[in-house]
Amino acid sequence: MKKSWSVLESQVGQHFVAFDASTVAGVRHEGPAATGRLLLDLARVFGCEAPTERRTVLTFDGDPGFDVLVGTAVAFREVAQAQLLKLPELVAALGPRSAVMGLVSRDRGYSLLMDSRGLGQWVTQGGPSE
Amino acid sequence: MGGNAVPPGKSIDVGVLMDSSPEDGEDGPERSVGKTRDFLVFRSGAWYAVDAAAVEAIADFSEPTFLPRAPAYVLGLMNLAGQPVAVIDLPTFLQITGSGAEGADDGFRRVLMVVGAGMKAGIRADQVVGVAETPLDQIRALPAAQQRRLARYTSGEFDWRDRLITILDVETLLAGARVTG
Repeated sequence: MKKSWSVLESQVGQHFVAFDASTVAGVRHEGPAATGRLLLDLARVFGCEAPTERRTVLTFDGDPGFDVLVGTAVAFREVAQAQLLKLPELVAALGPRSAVMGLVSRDRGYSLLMDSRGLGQWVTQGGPSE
Repeated sequence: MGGNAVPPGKSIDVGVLMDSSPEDGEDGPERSVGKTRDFLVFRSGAWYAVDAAAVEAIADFSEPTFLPRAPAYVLGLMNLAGQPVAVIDLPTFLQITGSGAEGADDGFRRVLMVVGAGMKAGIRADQVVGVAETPLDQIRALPAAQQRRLARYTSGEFDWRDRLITILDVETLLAGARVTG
């Protein structure tokens, strides 16, 4: 049984997000968007202030048709199984519609473990508002 | 019986708030002798109480982890007793406005970790006062004029230290707060 996973973490505003590193196809600096390419800005999705520094764009395996704009810095981190947590029962139903697969524990609080395919639904639905 | 104010601290077992311990053979919150029940009394805008047996822990409130698309009454997630727990803002959930929560002193803010309906959740409290050992015959039904939404999640009220305390039913509260697909 797999005992650890590699995640890619970034800070978006005051929030931390993580992606399964095995699904990340590429990491690049923010730049002019390729024609016809959708870019999902997580800062806008979360309704938080975007950093003024040049940010990082993630591309994903299987080409979901969009890229994701995260914070300025990203970091790969190995996490143990015990650090990967399910959403608590009270809010578990939010998982599919918020594209949050679970949580990665940090020193203080959690990173949201995001599902890149689930984020695609946000793109097609036009954003996070209820 | 009086209550003890909750001092700042990492996490507090509810038992330390009780002025007296159950005697031998009386290990539940509801005693067979004297017919009393222990309620943890706290302020969250207004004054509320929950069955002390439903409270697993009390912790200092810290900024919860944001959860996208959560309803407004879910403040986010906090690590309580080593596990992620969704924290509920009671006035928002009960749709009670102008209850004074915004004026609360941050230094007294706590989170009650409660258990009910097969779930655990946190309730943000502006202040936790202590445990009230309340004779059952002093618990009244809520007035009929009480807000319907509030009445759905409450099981009565009592007077304690010149305050009107509304008893929350943790089971129905958590079942009602559970986010559905």
